[in-house]
Amino acid sequence: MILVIAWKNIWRSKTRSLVVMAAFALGVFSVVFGAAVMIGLMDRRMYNAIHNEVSHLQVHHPQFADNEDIHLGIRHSDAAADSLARLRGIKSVSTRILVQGMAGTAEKTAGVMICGINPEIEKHVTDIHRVIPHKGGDYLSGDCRGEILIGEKLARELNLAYYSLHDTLPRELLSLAKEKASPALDSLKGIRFVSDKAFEDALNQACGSTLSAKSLYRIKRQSLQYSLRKKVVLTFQSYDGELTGAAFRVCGIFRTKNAMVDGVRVFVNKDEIAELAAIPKGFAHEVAVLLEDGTRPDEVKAAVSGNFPGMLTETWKELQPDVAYMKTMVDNIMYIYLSIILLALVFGLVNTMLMAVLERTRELGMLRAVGMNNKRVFRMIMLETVLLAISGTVAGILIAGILIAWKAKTGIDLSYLYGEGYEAWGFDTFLYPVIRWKEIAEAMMLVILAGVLASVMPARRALRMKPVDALKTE
Amino acid sequence: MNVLETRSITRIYKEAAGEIRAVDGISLTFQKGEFAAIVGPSGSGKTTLLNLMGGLDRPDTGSILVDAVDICGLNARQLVDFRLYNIGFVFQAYNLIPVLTAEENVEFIMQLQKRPRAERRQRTHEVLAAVGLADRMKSRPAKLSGGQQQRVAVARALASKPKFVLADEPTANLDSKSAENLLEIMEKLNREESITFIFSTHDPRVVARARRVITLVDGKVIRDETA
Ligand SMILES: Nc1ncnc2c1ncn2[C@@H]1O[C@H](COP(=O)(O)OP(=O)(O)OP(=O)(O)O)[C@@H](O)[C@H]1O
Ligand SMILES: [Mg+2]
Repeated sequence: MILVIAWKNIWRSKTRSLVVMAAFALGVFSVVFGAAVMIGLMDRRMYNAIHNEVSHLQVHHPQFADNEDIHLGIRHSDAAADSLARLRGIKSVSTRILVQGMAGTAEKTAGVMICGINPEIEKHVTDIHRVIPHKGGDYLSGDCRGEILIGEKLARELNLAYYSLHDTLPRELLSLAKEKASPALDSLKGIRFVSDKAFEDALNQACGSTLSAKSLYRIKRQSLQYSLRKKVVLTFQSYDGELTGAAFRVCGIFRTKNAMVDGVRVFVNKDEIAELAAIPKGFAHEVAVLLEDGTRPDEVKAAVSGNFPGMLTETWKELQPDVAYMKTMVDNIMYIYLSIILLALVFGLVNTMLMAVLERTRELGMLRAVGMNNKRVFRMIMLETVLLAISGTVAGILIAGILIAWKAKTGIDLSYLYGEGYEAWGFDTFLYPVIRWKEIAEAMMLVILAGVLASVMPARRALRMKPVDALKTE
Repeated sequence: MNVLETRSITRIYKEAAGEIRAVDGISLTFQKGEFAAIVGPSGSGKTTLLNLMGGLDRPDTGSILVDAVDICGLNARQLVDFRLYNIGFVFQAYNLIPVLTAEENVEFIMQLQKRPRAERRQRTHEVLAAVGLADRMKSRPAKLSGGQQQRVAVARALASKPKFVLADEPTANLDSKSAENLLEIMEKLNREESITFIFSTHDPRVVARARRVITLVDGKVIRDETA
């Protein structure tokens, strides 16, 4: 009954209550939606870090990280990897050879990390074979020699990727051009643009206007072409210290969307690079382990480490501490946001309830006179305050939930907002917001708590006057 | 047996100008079924006396016995419950919760008493019918006239089955016809169900209906006549 009265009391000042509810709805909406986006971004970053980069666990020589010396590796790595792969909870294991070197085309050179892999085994550990874009060629074939898989960023640096418009112009570009079938646009067809700036300038000029960053980004992605089957020469120091080199043909381009991977890593056949660099049999620089359940890599760490005595075993959290740190941050971000926003909202709530109590001085005096005790009066005011906060909150969560559910299907494309910027930090530009019901429930609890705290002052005010005096006020 | 007895109670307000003896050594007894009016000029202490008898205020000296229990010995929390279960109140105005209907207002007091639902429903109908508002049960106070609102207040006061009903100037805000009507209802309830009413008033026509008239001047009883 007191609940019903509290609810009805809220609607005595419709506008005032609606304003407070709207404030809560807006505040909670922005927190929940913002957190969902951040979590989505982070989940994606984590997924990419694990599946494109470091896997769940890696084993190296303890000093390998210092200068990536070719001599610092793991002996008999294949045997150890085989026995490791049979352990429970281990999904797959890949042993790799890592050699620092230079990659060069006729025009350009760039520093790279040559990564010798067994292409078939690697498929079970990383997703590199899955991130080959349309028209980006093929993944390494198992037996064929002389193939190299390079990242898109490196391809651009080596002039192996360029912008070029084909006969069918991107639809977006056509819709943006001032005149359809414009000769200026047609004249661009077939020209190769190596630099971003030159291509953007040409597009702007042909369209007769400055295109938005969003449009430019989309057109550029659609016009990017790869020079496959081109020769890339890798130069590196072999195990016995001799400078050697070999020519490879680009079989494909991968794009993890992490510039630090796409610009540096190149993949070649492990046996081939072992032979070229005169690396002893069974020797590897890196063992990457993917787990069945990646939530608790620390628990498997000891078992993995036992298979590689004297070597350093690290979890993805240790290998990418920045990602692990950001994950903890993002996991808590909703609470931080919510606390700040609630703090502001509570002031409004207290104020509203003080007004409501003041307006009802005589009524409260009457209720207490006829036998409503302090506890019940307190409860009534508290319920009213909490209901006011909760109804706005529920509305906010509902709106956020609908938007998140929708966006979780279609995704959110951030590429036009500094697309390259995100990629430079290793973040995917396409994200799916993630709602966590546990957090929503906890947010509700936090709002209720805020409502309870906000009600203390108004409730005390309601009880401050003696009933006889309250009844007398004019 | 006395349903209510005051033994030389005094209530003194200390003001800058000196002390005001709002109630000055009043001793009164009320029997069950009385219909008593407290009259007197403005400032004579009528409200103060009713508040003391209703357990809304405490006397500085003296004692108040309700069914032989000294309510001055109760603490604040006990006093609220005492009022809830033993005394019906009708104030001059603001008797009702505006967001509740007449029916809900009456039922509310019984909910505070934690009475079972079926009993509450039945009693609500009963008392609202008794004050002639059976057809206005679903109306909110704002939709009722001043007289009807006061009748709902009387119904609410009766609903809790109190030992007596205290009403401080229940007709003060009403036109004479509504005042007459309210008094008739109170009289009828007193006569037929022997509800004890103690009310204060200024209105001579209301006074005329009372069977006992207690006249106060300066916080003292100067006359106590039973017709
Ligand atoms: N809270 C208070 N503080 C100080 N003095 C008070 C207070 N309440 C009442 N008084 C004084 O006590 C005296 C009695 O007041 P009371 O309200 O009981 O009179 P009343 O007979 O009900 O008058 P009225 O007919 O105007 O309602 C008056 O002199 C009044 O000024
Ligand atoms: Mg008075």
